[in-house]
Amino acid sequence: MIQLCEIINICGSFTSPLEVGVTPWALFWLLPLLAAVVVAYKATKLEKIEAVSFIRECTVLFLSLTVFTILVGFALTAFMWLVMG
Amino acid sequence: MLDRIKNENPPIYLFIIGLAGWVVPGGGYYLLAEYRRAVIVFCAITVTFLLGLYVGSIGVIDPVASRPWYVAQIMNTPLVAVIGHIGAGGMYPSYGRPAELGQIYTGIAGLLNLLVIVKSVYLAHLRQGG
Repeated sequence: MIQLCEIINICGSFTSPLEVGVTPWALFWLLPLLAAVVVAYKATKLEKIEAVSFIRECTVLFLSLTVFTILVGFALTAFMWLVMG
Repeated sequence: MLDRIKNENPPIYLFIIGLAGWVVPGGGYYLLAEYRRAVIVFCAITVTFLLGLYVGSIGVIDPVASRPWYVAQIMNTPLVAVIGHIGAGGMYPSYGRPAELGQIYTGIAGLLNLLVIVKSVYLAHLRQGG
């Protein structure tokens, strides 16, 4: 059974922000957001929700968007190198 | 009772579906008996919203200093207004990247819920026509 102090601790963790550094690893925060967008989008889009087809569709879209985002990242970095020298 | 409203006053029925989707993410789909869809949408939107709050603290919901983000965030649920009221006193400030990430997560969760509300109302409208 969850104790009252545990509930207060859980609630308390929502009152102070996490330490998120300006590092390349911070880019990985994109992935959970992308997964949520994909799942919500496919849940509204598919005509019939069945486990196998839903997971397959979500995985394909998630991978496509991830690859596309990486390519856009590379393109923007290349553009910045060209502009900044 | 919902069937009676559906037959006698279609605009109110659509409004109830939209309102249910706003009060609880996926609520509109639940009323339409699309239970799997409702559960998936509820989990995806609630987890994203709570992750945003966890990363940036409840300080990311700021109806005064971050009004554009607040407009997106309040699409999640009316409870955001309560959290905004708590955070408006400036007791829980959120600085730098946590604010940025938290705002993005909570804002996108709200916009996703808006998409879901529109789709569930549209589905209800289609079923009325059929």
